[in-house]
Formats: sequence, C-alpha cells, structure tokens
Amino acid sequence: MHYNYYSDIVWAIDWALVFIIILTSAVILLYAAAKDRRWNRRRDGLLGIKKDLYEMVLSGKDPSYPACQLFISSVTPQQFMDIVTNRNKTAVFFNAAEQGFLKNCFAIPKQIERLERTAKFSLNKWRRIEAILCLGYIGKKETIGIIKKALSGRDSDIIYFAIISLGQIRTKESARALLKYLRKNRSNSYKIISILEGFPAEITDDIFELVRDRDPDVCQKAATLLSKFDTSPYIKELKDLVRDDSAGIRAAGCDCLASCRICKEETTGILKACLKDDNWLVRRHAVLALEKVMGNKAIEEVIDMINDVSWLVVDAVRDVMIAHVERAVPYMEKFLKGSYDIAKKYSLSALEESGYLAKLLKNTASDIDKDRALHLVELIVKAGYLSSIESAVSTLEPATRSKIAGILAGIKQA
Amino acid sequence: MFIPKVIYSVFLISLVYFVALTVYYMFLAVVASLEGAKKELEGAGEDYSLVYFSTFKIPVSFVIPARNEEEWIADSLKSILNLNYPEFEVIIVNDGSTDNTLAVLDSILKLRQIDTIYAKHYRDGVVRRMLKSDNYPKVTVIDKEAGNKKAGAVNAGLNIAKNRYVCVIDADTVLERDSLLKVMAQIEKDPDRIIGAGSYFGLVNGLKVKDGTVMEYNFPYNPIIAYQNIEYMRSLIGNRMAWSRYNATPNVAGGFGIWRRDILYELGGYSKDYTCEDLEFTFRAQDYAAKNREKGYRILMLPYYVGWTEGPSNIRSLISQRNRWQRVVIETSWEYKYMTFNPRYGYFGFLTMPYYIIYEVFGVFAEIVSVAFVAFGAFSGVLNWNVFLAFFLFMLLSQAFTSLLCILTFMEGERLFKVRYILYLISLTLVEFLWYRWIISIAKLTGTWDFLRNKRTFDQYARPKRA
Repeated sequence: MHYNYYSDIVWAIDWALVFIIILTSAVILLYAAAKDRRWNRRRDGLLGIKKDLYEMVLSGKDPSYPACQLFISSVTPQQFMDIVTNRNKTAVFFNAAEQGFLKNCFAIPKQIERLERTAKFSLNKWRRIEAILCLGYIGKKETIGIIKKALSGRDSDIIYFAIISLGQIRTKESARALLKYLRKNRSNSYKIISILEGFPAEITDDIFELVRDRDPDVCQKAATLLSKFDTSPYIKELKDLVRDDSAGIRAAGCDCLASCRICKEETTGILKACLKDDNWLVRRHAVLALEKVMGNKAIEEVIDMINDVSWLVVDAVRDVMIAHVERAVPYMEKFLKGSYDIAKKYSLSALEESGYLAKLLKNTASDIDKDRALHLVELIVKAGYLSSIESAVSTLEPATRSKIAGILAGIKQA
Repeated sequence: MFIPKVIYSVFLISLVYFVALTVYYMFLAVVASLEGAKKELEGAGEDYSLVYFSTFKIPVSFVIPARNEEEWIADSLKSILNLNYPEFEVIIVNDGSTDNTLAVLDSILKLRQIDTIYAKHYRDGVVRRMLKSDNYPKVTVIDKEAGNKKAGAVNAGLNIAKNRYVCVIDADTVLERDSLLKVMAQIEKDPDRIIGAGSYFGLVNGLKVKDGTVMEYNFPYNPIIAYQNIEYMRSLIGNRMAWSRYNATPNVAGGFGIWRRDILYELGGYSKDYTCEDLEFTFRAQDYAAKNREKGYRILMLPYYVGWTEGPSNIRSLISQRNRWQRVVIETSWEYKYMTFNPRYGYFGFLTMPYYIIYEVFGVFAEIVSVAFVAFGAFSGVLNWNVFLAFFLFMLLSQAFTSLLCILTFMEGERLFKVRYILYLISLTLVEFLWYRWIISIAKLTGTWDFLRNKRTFDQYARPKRA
C-alpha cells in the first residue's frame, strides 16, 4: 500500500517558512535600527530644546512667551511630556525651573488649540491620550471641559489618563469631576483618592457629600480620603460612620474622627468604644486614631489591646508604645513581670526599637535614674531576653559596656 | 505492513501537532505584542510622583530566601536598598547556608540578634534566631535551619512580613532601580483586584554589576546563555504576556513575584510538597481566583525589565535546572489537571492548561518520537529521504520562526540588546533545533523520569565563582 506523505505540501510549507524567517529577521534588524535612530532623534530633540532655552536665558531674554515662541511651536506633545515628566531622564534631565519655563511657554493658544483638536478627534487612541495628558500638565482651567469629556468615554485607557490629567489641575472643578466619576465607577478609585489627597482643602465639602453615598465602597473610599483633611466641620455626621455595617467604613470613620482638629473630647469616647469592635481592622484603626487624638495619653486607653487576638492590632499597640515609650514603661514593666509571652515580647520589641533599652542600660552605669533602670534590666534578664540586651550593649561605648557587663553579671548571680 | 502504517500515522500526527503549535505561538506573539505595547504606553504616561508621594502608597515587604548565596547576596541586597520606592521592608531568610552568606550579610548590614515576636502562620521549619540590621533598620534576617525547601524559607519570611504586598525575589536577583515603582504603579490602578504580578527579568550572566547596579549591559556570546535569553523572552514576554491579557498567567516566577499578603495567608503560603514553589502557587492562586470569580481577581504579567538573575552557564548546570523545572511542571499540571477545558477556569482552562499538558508535559515525547520514527522510516526505506528532509527542515524552521517571533515581540519594549547581539540571537535561532533543543529534551526526559521516581528535591546546580 502506498502512503502519501504530502512531501510537496511539506516542502511548500518549508519554503514559506524560509521566506517568513528571512522577512522576520529583516524586520527585527530594521526595527532595532529604527528604534535606535528614533531614540537618538528623541534625545537630540530634547537636547535642542534645552540648548534653545539656555541660549535664550543667556542672551538676557525673559524665558517666557513671546521670547520662547521661536522654538516652542515646534515642540511636539511627546517632547512636552518627556520634559514635564522626565520619563527619559537617562537621555536628558529637566529640572523643576526648566520644566516651569517650558510649561509656561508651551501654554500658548496655538498649542492648546492643537492639543484640544487631537484630544477630541484623533483616531489614534494613544495620540489622544498624550494630548489629554499634555492639557493636564499645562494646567489651564479652560481645558478641564475637554478632559472631563474624555472621562465620560468608554475606553478604559482614555479614562485612566484623563483621571491622571485632571489630577494635574488642582481646582474644585477638576476635583468635582473626579468625585463624580468615583461615585459611579469602582475602577481607578484607589488612584483617584491618591490624586485628590494632594488637592487644596476647599474640596472637602464635595468629598463629604460622597461620604453620604449609599454604596459602601464609595462611602469607604470617600471617608478614607476625607481623613486626610481637617474633618472638624463634619464631625457630627462622621460619628455615624463608626456605627456602619461595613467594617471598612467603620475603620475609615475612626480615621476621620482622628483628623478632627478641634473635637478631641467628642471623638475620644467614640474611638474608645471602637476598641471593642468585633472586627480587627476597626480595632487597629481605633488604636492608631486614639494615638493621633490623645498623644501619649492614649497609652492608658490602648495598652490592654496588647491582649487582642489579632496580631495586627497588637502591632498597632506596639507602634503607640514606641511613639510614647516613657509613658508606656510602667505597663511594659508589668508585662515583663507577667506570664503572657506575646505582651512580653512586644514590650521588649518596643523598648528596643524606640532606643529606650540602650538608654536604660546606659542609666544602669550612671547615676541617672539608676535604680529604676536596674530594676527594668533585671526584669528583662529574668525574662530571658539576653540577645536584645547583648545587641543593645554592643552599640555603647567600650567603657560603659564593661561597666554594664559587671552589673549584668551581678544580676545573673543574684 | 504494520511498521509503515505506524510511521505514516506518526508522521501525520506530528505534522498536525507542530503546525498547530506554530499557529498557537503566532497567536500568542500577536497578543503579547499588542499587550506589551499597551503596557509600555501605559507606563510612559504614568504619573510616578503619585505612587511615590501619596500617603496611600502601598508599602511592600521583600522576602528573599537565600541558601549558599555568598556570590550574589551582596549585590542583590544592595540593589534592593537602592530602589527608587518610598516604603518597603526587607526580610532575608538564611536557609541553613553552609557558605559565607550570613557573614556577607553581616558585613553590609551589621546584624544583631533580637528577641522579637515570631508567630508561625505558615509551614516554615526550624528558625534559629532573628537578626536586625543596625545600618539599615528596615532589614531583618531570619536565620533558619535547612529543610522545607525554598518554600519553607519564603514562608518563614512571610511570617513576619507586615505590608500589604509581598515581593519574593531570588537571592541572586539584581533589581533595576525603578523596577518596583513601575510594577506597583500598575498594581495601584486596582489593588482590590490585582492579587499578583510578575514582570520580565533576564540573565545576569556576563553583565557588569557593581554594588547592586548593572553598570554595563554587555550580553554574553556564550550560546548556552544566549539561548536562555531567547527562552526567557519566549516564556516571560512571548507567552505569559499574552496569557496575562486573558488573566490566564500560569506562573509568577520566583525571580521576581509580587503577591497580596492576604491572598498568601488565605492560601496558606507556599507549599513544600513540590520541587519548586512558584508555579504551583500561581496555579493555586488561579484556582482561588476562579472560585471567587465575583471578586474579579487578576494576576498580571508586565513587560518592564525589573532585574537580572543568574542562570546556568554550562550544559550540565542547564540540564540540572531544566530537570527540576520539568518535574515541577508535571507535578503541578497533574495536581491541577481538573482545570483543563473546565469552563469554570475560563481562559486559564482553555488557553493555558492545554498548552502546559500538551506541550510542556508531553511535548518532549512528541518531538523525540516524531523525529525518531521519521528517521527510522528513512533509514529502513519505508519513506524516502526527501520526505525525511522536508519534515526535519519543517521542525527546524518552525522552531526558528517561533523564536524569532519572540525576539520581535520583545523588541517592542526597552532597548536592551544592540543590533549586533540581535543578529547573533537571530543566527542562533536558525540552529536551535540542531543541538540546544535536544539538550533541553534530555533535561525534560530525565526530569520526567525523576518525577516518576517520585523525586521532589530542590537540586541547586553548581554555580561558578564570579570573576
């Protein structure tokens, strides 16, 4: 029986592959060469702009429009983005002053008009995005309308970069556009709150409006954002947040209460109640919020949370102890005497990280508060944490070290 | 009558198999190319100052398992300490090193033992002591006994990792200064849904590295390393970028992988029951994502070159490494076989899993059997030499073509290779099937055999001293 191996078809495929391989190899090499060339041209272009700018400054002209009009009209949106974001800093770096001059020069009506046209009508999506970004970096309030329009489009990339662009124009109007977007869409919400925290405080009313939103996700994001501003005017309503069904909102509510600059008394009680919340996230935020509100007095309120079941809450307590170590020492002493291992270790960790352990050891060798220091060091030695003492001692002067070694030997003998 | 029939059948099946594979690679190359270009443009328009200065920035915990890494650990650590990222902690796990790894670390970090809290959330092994750096307070070293493989070492680090995202890197990975910033900028777009991310990294062999910074990108002409450069392009850019487009990434490589800590916790950390840990964990994360579809979890693969890691520089080491990789591919594919063509797993079940099973697990047999049968047919006179030559040439050319596609896809990203080196890589692809392919096949065969023998050890290949 004769089998047809279709060798002619296989050979045809082979020849086709040979042709494609030659073609692909040529494309790769040409592409690499073109890329190198494009890169060099891009670098040269930026160097040229820098040179023009410096020539203008050295000739005594004010580096602003119309003096810079001779060269600025030839600057492309891509070059403008290279300048203001320094995204090709390995090629040419522009410092803040240079960026400022060129930004002002670039903001001429002719350029803006060109960018607006590209942002509206270009069929190339990435050209549109570049134009939208340029409009944002130019920072003219008049262009917000076009960027806002991009925000209501369908393409997720255009929307994302419109958000970035609006973030460059820090006005109430751009903030409102971003908050409106946040209300309706969950995507990019993290980015939006990152952007808005850098906006002036005049936007807090609009953020607060969003806190009232029924969508828990929107409410939580808005509350988290609001906590970065002074929340005093809204404190009455914000108190309700810590009673919300969502743990995320309750935690954000704690942050908001902590950001109230004039209502310490009012918020302390509420935050204390949050320490008893069922959810660890709320308890952790309450611990940190209490520290923010009460300062070192928070120690008394949060110290018992060292027994919390969640290590993230205990970790927050440790952070508070480190921040206010002097006030926490009596409690740490109690823990070191006790039998609860986690409390002991967290106390020791706080003593170490705050640098208080080294101070204690120094005190044992001097006359400053010697008895108390000796007592505490004795407790630490008895608890068996010799490595911490050893490493703390190693950071001290040799003379102090030998003195402390003698004291430690005495404690050990006793 | 029987033998010619078998040879004919093998010939036809092989032909269909390799044509299908080439078409699949072409599809992946096109998708990867589009996805890579998109990610590059996204990166170019990003406002990195937002990532850097925002109080909402996401802190990262680095976990670096290190076993006998005295050669590279200093550069790796310095590259992390030099990172252009505002907030991160570094946890190095000395996994029972018998060389000077700990001494090298001490010379940079000035370590001191601490009595700190160490809660065991994951299976890690015996931890001897914890050390803190005097010079760099954000660095902690865990000194543990050997055992429980790399997974145990990573798990030990996870036990004390505090930040929302954990970046696991190999102790011989030298990171680029902006690597973390670039990757985290993409993660910050949607941290509620992005649970893991990987990015491209290449081989450090031959590059001039000083104090954790790559000073000169002089890629070596050693063919073993150059072929691996092509393979890294194929694997990290050509394939995974394309799969990432469909949220079907199968592997966030251990050389550089970022995971959300709550997901690591939820999944119980890395498993020591497999030869390597990264592939299996990614499969497990995909499984978890599919079971929680409503949450819309995503695992990203990005085209930015984030760092450089050491690879084998001779045939023996290469076989040892690929033997290990083959074992873990089979172990993982076998464990998660139920995902294949399972609608519940979406693109992962239809696009990635079949590739793993058909190509990664059984592909080596397909190649060897087809060439062997067709060669036997030619020698025994069952088919003529013209057919054999046509078939052999087809295999060689299809292999070269897929490698070229990957180089082309890779070219879209950063300008890493000089034209001369690209020309060298192109010439290598044309002869890949004549020798390099068979070295990999030998490694895969021995790996399969070792899998069947139930070998699950993590064998570190012998590494040369650095010049």
